[in-house]
Amino acid sequence: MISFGNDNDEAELRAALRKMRRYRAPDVLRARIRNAIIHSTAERTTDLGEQATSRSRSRVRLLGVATGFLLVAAFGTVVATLAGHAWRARFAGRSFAGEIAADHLRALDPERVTDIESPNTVEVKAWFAARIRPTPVVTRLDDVGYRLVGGRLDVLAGRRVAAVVYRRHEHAISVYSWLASSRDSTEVAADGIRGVQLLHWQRGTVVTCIASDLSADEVRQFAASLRLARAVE
Amino acid sequence: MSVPRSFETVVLPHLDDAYTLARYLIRDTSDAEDVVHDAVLRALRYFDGYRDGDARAWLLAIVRNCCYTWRSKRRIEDGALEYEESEHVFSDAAGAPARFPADAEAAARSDREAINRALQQLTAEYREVIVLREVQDLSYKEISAVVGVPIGTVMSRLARARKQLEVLLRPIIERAT
Repeated sequence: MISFGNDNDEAELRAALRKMRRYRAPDVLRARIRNAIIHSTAERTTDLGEQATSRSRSRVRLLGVATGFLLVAAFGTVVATLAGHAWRARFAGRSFAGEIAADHLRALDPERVTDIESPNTVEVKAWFAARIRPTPVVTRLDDVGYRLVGGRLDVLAGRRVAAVVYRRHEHAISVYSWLASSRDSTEVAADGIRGVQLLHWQRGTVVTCIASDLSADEVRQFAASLRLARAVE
Repeated sequence: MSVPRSFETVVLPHLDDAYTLARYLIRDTSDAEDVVHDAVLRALRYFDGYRDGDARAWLLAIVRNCCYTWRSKRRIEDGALEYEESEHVFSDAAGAPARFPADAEAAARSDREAINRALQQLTAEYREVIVLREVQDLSYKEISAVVGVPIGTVMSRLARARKQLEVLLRPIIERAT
């Protein structure tokens, strides 16, 4: 027990204070924050899209008035160069992305959505743990409308990848993850191939890629839910 | 290339610290939850303007401001309403037989209860520096950033707050021993 009345009063008090409780934010609060951030992020994305469209229109008008032939020619050259880079980058990434899209479509076959079917995160994680490293993160997302269905293992472009499978209504969502070959980060990018929306990012050495027949916006929203759930849990 | 920073990875790991500060500044559990909820959304809104730095101190500063806004809305006058409530709790503690704990854990719990009651008797500006320093282990510099006062002021507030706590706790300890 704490006691005062000697020269070490302050030390006693400080030692006692250090044993005071540090609270853990309740799960209810975490879930509330997670949902609020998802909605807020979705609104911000829409706002930013609208702002960008409006800004680009004003810029085009200004450019038309203010620039001469020389500037336009220079601008054209820069755009052509950038477009070339973008095209090459897309072409280079398309083959693996295409494989993922095809794999997701194959998995929609009723007999092969999952290798393990379970709504239990612990069970699905344990199944992966026995088969692949790093073990993918398996998160509960029921509270935001995504039901965990199970998981499967695939080999894509010679790479072993884990796929955690969720469902929203009748739509399947495959969350692939694999070990990246470098630590370079990858910005989130959305792309649609054969009706399958893809969205991927890299954190540390692990690449995560979402494939689904949901709309691009819905996939982005799912990604936000997934990343928040991983961060908050 | 550096790993891109996101709100989830920079700010959310400090949610427990945010909640702890709110719980000490606002005693009611659900009010503290509401304040932290608002503070995190506020942080999200301002995240574009956040530059590399101490994310914990940044979030705690927002939580602290939200706590004070909440308090002023509730028109709680520091040292008036709170003091009366605390006095009531204190007299309960003095009469409680729990001052003869059966084991070490009960003794520790009893100490925490006594300190918590004493903390609630401090003014908010003293209580916050004590919580940030002793409970949450922030440096003087970090506390200065959270509270928005110079480091010298942080140190003098801490010294005065500790003295007040000693004075508040002494009669309880003496009565119990």
